[in-house]
Amino acid sequence: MAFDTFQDGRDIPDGQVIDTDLCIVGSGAAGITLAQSFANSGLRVTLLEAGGLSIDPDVDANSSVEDAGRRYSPDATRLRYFGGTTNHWGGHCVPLEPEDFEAKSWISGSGWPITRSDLDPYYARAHDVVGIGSYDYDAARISAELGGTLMPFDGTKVATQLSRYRRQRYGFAYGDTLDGAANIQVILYGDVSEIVLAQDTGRAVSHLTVQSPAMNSFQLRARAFVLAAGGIENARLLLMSNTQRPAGLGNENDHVGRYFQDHLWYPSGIMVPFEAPVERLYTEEVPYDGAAVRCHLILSAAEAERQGVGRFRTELLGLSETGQQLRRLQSGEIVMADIADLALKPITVGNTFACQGDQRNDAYRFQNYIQQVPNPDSRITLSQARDAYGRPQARLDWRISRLDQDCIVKAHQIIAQEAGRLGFGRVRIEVEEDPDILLDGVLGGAHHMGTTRMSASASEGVCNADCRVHSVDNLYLAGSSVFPTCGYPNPTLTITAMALRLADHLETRATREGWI
Amino acid sequence: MTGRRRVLASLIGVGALAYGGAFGAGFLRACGTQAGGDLAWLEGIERIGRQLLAQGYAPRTRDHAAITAMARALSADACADFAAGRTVQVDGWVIAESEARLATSVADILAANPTADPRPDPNRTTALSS
Repeated sequence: MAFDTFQDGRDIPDGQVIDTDLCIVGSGAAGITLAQSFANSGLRVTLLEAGGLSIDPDVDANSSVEDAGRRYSPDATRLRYFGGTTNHWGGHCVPLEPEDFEAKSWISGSGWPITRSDLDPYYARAHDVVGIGSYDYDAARISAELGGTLMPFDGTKVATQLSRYRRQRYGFAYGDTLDGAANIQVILYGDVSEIVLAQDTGRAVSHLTVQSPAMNSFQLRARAFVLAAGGIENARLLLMSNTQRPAGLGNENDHVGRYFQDHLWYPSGIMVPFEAPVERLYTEEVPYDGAAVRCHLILSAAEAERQGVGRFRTELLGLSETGQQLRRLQSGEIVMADIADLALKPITVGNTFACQGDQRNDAYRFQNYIQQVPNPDSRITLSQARDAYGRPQARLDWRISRLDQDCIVKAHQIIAQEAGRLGFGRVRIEVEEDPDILLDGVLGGAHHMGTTRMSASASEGVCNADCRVHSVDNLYLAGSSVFPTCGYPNPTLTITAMALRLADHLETRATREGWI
Repeated sequence: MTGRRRVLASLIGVGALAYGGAFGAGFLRACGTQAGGDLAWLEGIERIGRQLLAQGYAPRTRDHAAITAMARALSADACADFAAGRTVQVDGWVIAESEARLATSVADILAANPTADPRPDPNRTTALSS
């Protein structure tokens, strides 16, 4: 990676003013998708990244998160350098289902101001960005093509859901495009310290004040600004820009930072099929269409409605992780991370090695990902702690609810009943009966969502259906912070699709308003 | 596998083996546990039955004919139970009530007659003669 045209914010003279048309803050999945959409267009685009080209502890220290609620590891789930968290994501892609966009009487705060059909064309284009082949999730047809056999779940309550996988590193994939586009300027080591509104109207952003680890400061002026800094940082940037609006930008109705959601990760349960062998398509990523596919089980939208819970997806594991590591090693695939990990758990390795010989690993273990329902008390606020620039750090109070617990319990029961009804096998539920103990065992899936939710009206959210902050004419939000609800899919594909949709909106606006 | 259990298996095995031997044997498939041949499923049934009895689950019978009928109908009955939500949890496993009845009956008989001659007495209605 040469990236010769990338600028280092530490070298920009103190007090310099940089003029551009579109300023994008953050170079993760959303920011890079947006920026590359405008490559070689007539629009001047500046992509601002707080970090450099690799992890920098000094940069990380400027965005540490105070963990005030249930246990979470926000610092371990973010990457503040070019490419953002696409530098370590798992590559799981599947679109939100049409029902995920609808308001639901049993889930307070649900409902998007757009529909799945609004996003469909962008999902198709997002497939090209991620490099996951065609926009096709027909599990029956694809499994048949691959010679696999789907489980007999008929979709009324439980369904097989096919996902596509590719660990696309957006920085590697699109860095050269951005580097080579004359209209795009990438600035590394530039961290926003304040979003400043124009004095005349107070309705539009005039510039960003930017600082670098060298403690120089410069201004970025643009016609439009997009915050694409992640589910925690987007909220923090709006809240800390409180000089002109004391509650923070876009926070007139006290929604900024609220509704922090993650996919709840709760490994539990085992399914023993009576006769069917463990199907590889459910336990491994199988190469297909230039990427890979893998099947999971989900609670159907109709059943979620009947039960009055959120969405539930379980990944099925065949061999244990240790077993998979051993198998890779035995097949000659040397992965240093595997060796290091195996060296730390000799007893587990011994047990796993003994188990592998008996050919009885014919059960599926459940690794569950559950939709967290929106909860206004689950939120990002500003901490008393300050970073090196004097900015307040973010404070996370992550809270989950009994409705989330209900989803976990009921989904296991329904899968068990369906497996029995169909004569497929039996399920062991390993969910803690005590709700408090159960909830203590729930971890986050490292998806930060919902903190700047989109809504039809300003009273219900932070940004509108175009992702523009309701109360600021030229400030937009990108990324999973705008998701009102999250369904069961991991967010990156939807983030990418939404960024492409925002790019279309900005291009239309730029043309209409004569920016180009 | 004791002779007693082998005979008991023959009593209920027509239905249960048609059922695939999965109920019972399936629960022995955990890593490191050999299924142990065609009759190993009975170990599973007895184990499940013992656990259910310990949990206080009552429905059971020592009637030979009833057990045989129960075993023969097990496959269909279990599916119907699951469809109707008639399930029981034992050590986390979700099983049908019909399976639970069979398992507790098996465990009950074996517990009551640990050293008995397991051969069925055609003149009696209990599964095992004492």
